Amino acid sequence: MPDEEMLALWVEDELTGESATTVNAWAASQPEWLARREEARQMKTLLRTHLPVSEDPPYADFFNSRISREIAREAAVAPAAATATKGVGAFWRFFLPATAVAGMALCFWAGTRVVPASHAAPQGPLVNIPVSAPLGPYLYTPEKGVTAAYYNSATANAEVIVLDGLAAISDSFEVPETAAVEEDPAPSATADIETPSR
Amino acid sequence: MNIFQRLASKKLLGPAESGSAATGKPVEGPEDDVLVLRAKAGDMKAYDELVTRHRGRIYAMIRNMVKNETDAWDLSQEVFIKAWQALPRFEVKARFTTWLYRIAHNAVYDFSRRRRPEGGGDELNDELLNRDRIDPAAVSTPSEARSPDEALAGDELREKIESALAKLSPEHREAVVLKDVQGLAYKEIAEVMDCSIGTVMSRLFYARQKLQSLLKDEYDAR
Repeated sequence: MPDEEMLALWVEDELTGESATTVNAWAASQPEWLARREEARQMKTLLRTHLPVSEDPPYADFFNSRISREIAREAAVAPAAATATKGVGAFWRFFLPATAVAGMALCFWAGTRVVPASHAAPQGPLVNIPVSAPLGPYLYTPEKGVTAAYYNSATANAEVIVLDGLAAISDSFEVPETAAVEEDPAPSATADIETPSR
Repeated sequence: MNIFQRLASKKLLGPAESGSAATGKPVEGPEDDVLVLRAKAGDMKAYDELVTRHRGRIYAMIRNMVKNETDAWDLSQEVFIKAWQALPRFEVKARFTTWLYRIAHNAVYDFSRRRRPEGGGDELNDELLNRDRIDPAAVSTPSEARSPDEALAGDELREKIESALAKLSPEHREAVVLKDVQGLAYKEIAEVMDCSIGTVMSRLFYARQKLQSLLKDEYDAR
């Protein structure tokens, strides 16, 4: 009996010459295999009759010209890109991995040296902190001509920020509705609690 | 008249030979190998000739896989552009057709992965591809040699077959399309689908069984 691959090729009519003769002789007494080959042939005939092997795409001339145009466009872009990356770029590309590794090592080393003040244990005598050192937050005013001053009173437990140079708010200014919060005139019904009658 | 009587009364639309011979239809002009060598040397006219020679098969194969003319058109374009880009790596000892099918296989599978919910071409749309609007005098107009009755019956059956094919898994559908429609040999299909011949056999066997059950009415009419 022929092997499975040989039989599969025979079913598809792919065998030629001596191998085809051999399998034909064997299959002559095998109705099951003959039927299988016939089914395969019928399926092929059915599909090839109704599905084209070759079908020109719509607007075939445009199909070709568009491919040519795309290839030409890419060909024009490729040398420009190659020129841009050549020279200095190509030179530095050689050092890029080494530079990256060196950078990572430097960052790691710096990380081991920089310790947050809160975590740093005092070593030896405390150094004198300059009195003039600015305390408190850094203030930023986006409007030109407006200055801000910060006052901190530990005894009063208060912090004050004074803005100087702001234009006065006119009396006619009305707070926009979107910024207004309306108070509910009356509690909603769901908030009412009925006391059970006794 | 049952389906097989109808088949007997019509001439086949394409070559029905099996195996690799089916893909090598008689060509005018230089062989593919010669054109490929010229194209590799940068000859765009040679590549244009290769596109003209193979666009029909590639488009038909892709169209049977994606079931949408616009997407099939775009994907076929993609295949030939990618083929051009990869041409320097193509070894002439391989068959150019099989190599193109392989690129088409990859393009279809990539497309399936990134498939849009609604197919819509960037430059072409279905309205543009409506055959009724194609100029009858255009060189590339598909010819219709059948009578209206024959055409209607044929179109109905084609729709049934296409609908049945669409119900197969992509692997089974591709095996059937490459084998039973395109007429590739097992070895070529294995190359295109990047699998063993045994896998192709198995896929083809199950795909045909499923197709037979889906087209049962047509088979019962025998």
